[in-house]
Amino acid sequence: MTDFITYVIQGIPFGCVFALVAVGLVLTYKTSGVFNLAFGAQAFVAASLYYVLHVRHGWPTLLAFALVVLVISPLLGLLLDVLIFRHLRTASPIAKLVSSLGLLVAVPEIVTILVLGESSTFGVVGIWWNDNALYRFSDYVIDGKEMAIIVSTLLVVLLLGLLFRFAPIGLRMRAVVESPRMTELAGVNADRVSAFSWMLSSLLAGLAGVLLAPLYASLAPQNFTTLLIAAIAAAAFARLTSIPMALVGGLLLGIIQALLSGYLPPASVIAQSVKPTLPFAALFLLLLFWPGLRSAIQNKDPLSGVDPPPDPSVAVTRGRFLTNATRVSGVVVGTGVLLWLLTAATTYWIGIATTAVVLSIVFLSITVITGMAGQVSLCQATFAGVGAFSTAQIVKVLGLSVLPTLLLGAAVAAVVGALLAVPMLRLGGIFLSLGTLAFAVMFDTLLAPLGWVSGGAHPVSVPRPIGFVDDRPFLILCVVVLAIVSVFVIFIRRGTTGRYLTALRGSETAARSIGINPTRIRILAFAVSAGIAGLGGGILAVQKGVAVKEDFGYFYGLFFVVLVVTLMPSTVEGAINAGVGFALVPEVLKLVGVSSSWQFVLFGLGAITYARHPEGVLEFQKGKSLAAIQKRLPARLRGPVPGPTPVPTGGAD
Amino acid sequence: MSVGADVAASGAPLTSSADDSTVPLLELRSVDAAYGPFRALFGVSLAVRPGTVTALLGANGAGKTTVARVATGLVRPTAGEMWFEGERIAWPPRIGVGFVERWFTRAAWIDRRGVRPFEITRLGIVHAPEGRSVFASLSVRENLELSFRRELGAHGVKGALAKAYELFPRLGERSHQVAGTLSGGEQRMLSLARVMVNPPKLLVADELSLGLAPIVVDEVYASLATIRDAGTSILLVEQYVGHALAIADDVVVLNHGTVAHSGPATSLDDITDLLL
Repeated sequence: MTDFITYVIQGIPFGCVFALVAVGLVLTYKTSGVFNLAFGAQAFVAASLYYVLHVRHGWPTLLAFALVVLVISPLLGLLLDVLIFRHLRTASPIAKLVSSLGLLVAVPEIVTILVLGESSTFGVVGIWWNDNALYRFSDYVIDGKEMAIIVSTLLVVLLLGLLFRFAPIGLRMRAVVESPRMTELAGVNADRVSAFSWMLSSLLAGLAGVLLAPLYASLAPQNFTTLLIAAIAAAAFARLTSIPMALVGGLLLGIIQALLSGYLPPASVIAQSVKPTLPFAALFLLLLFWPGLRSAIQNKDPLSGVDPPPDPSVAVTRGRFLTNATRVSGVVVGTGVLLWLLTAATTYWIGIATTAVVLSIVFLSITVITGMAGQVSLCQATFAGVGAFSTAQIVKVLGLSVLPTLLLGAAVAAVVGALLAVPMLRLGGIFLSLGTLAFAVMFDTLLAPLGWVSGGAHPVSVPRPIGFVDDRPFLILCVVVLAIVSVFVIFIRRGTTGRYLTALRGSETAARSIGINPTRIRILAFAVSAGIAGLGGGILAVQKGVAVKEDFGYFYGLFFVVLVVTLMPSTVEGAINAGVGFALVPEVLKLVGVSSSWQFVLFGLGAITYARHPEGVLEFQKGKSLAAIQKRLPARLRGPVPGPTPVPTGGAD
Repeated sequence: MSVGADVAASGAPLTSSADDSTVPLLELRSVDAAYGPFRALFGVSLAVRPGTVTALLGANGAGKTTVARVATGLVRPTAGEMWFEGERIAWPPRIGVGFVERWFTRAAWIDRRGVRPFEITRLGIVHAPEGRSVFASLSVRENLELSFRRELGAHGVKGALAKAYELFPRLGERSHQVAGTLSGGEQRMLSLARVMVNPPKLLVADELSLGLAPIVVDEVYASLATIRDAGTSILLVEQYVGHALAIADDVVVLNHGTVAHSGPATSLDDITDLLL
């Protein structure tokens, strides 16, 4: 019994850590309607600034804390609101999620490049007057950093409770989330309210960042991201709405973790993988089974009809000549590059080209799931990993030849995708994305380290297929595979499945009413997408000669989505662009002489535009410039333009 | 579209039934409005005299709701003027972060140029929008508090709530119920309660009878009469001509985004075909 109490007390500090972040997530969701994945990034900004001021420049604790948490953090929140989220208030929840995902990828890199620099970030110091002061409870001792977290968490929950209960601003914040326009019709300045909520939640993120930083040996964005994802479980427990429940959820999570590590034999595999996996498994299960969570999806703004209709896609306004001209020039450039690669290019550039081609295959899976099915899946890198590990293991254990095994690996990934899709399809929108994220992290922490999956400490090597051992033939093989998969994807899009998916994206109800079974068609899309990713992952492993789990970490899943969404999520061409971008942008950055981390910044910030350009910024710009060229063409080349032209009369009432 | 276009283009002072000397409470002069590339209003001019009910009639898609939205600032006119109590409502050129808005969002939330809806509301124009016009996720009491708190201050809220519940006892019984679970009629009561407790200068009521049982429609119109008697002018957007004409002093008929007819309510007898 005393053991039990000791473990419970042991779990409280980490429970409060989860709770603090979860409270922040719930607060942001409640007051701005954004499931703010960037919360982790905001926390990292504050932690870094605090570290630089306090540790590197020797500012006094209180001054550094006050400047970072009370001034800079709210200003950052204000900036995010004014520049980004204010304009997304009527966007779909999934568009907001993608925007915050872009920030999560971009902002920590900006901070690392501009603020932290190359030098080490060890020795973060907490805000308690003595980090190592010890407080004795029963048999367990809590130190200063933990005490700071416990006290602040309780204070934050108390203050927020009072704010929402007694201050009119609490009511206004909830009103703005439901409908900014109707709030204005009640005479309330919705902009000011939303600025306040962003400043408040950013302040909380700053507080969390400064408090949590000393728990880790050094400052690393990954720690904050992983912690953020873990805390989503506590937020889900609170149904994304209740701040006290977020506290309870966080504490429960911390205590259960402590109990598990206390009672399970410490050296066992179960204990070592279960403890870190617990929050993600909990999130996964909560998303699937927690009653009331999914009904927390906000009510639709009744005044959304005031918005102008979406911009018409400009790409359709080109005539036959221009279409042919772009196609021919595309083929000419492609062939030219290929010829150069096969004759003159150095091994280095062939390697980069191969990476581009292989990644294009992986990105085609995002074309299927995001571009065609309209779902944002954050675990495509994991599917690629499943394909890579299965390929490697089958080749190693059964001794099959590599080429057919790649297909087997893709099949395994497809089965995993389908199995994941069955429960996940009950979830829609952001909950599906969060579920795939939970799955990705679970795979990372639970399965990927195991020997029979990735080979554990000794990654499994994969030979190249006979005849394709050299780099040039292997590149040709990859190009052929890419061509086959591209044609396959195009066939799906033009075929019945693609049209069903388009119909479902338009309106699920309408699609049902004409007899489309959404569950079946979505499971199919998920399985196909996972299979393509698995195939790409397998080839990536073959290219490298070894299947390494670091190549398929959950962060890549996030980055892949950000990358493809910035370019062209809905076309095969877009996937190839993304592959080329993934391989080439770091090279270009190297050439310019800046850190290759800028690619995360570039694509992360690009993803923010997803709300306005779901077809991708690049696609949008391409359509715009093609339309401009079309206009300047001589009349005889212009030809008849397909597609509808908007009628200037009538419209919405 | 051509019907009444000349009336609209001239921008001439509008005929009102009796007293031309009074300044109209609300006046639209040759207003154009559009949703993106879709134009909804073509040179609409109309006026609401103080203390009267003006019915805005027309078929589906005629532009009635757009007129209501222009009057409350939700839609910014692309041309024309709006005057309230003899003052011009100004929509000056866009400043600030508009380019960011255009870049990031497909859905420009509201046009952030010049006067915003909350400012127009504070001038004394209250809009009961079409369809669901309450905050579905807030309780009945919170819905009322949201506007009372600003209009009457923290001390006035209690009295105002009591008055609202006295007018509509059903709301009192359900004060802690989430407004989204109220019936359609109760939701209309809720949006009217706010207006009746603290009468604005102008109520813009959009399709109040939509989707309601006939008996509830009668209740709603009785409430409107009470509101009018308290001194509030009403711009009444309505598809059901009978109900509207029973209470209206003036009438404006829209057709394809232009004013097809305007005049006293009694003048409508011989032009019914314009509505159909």
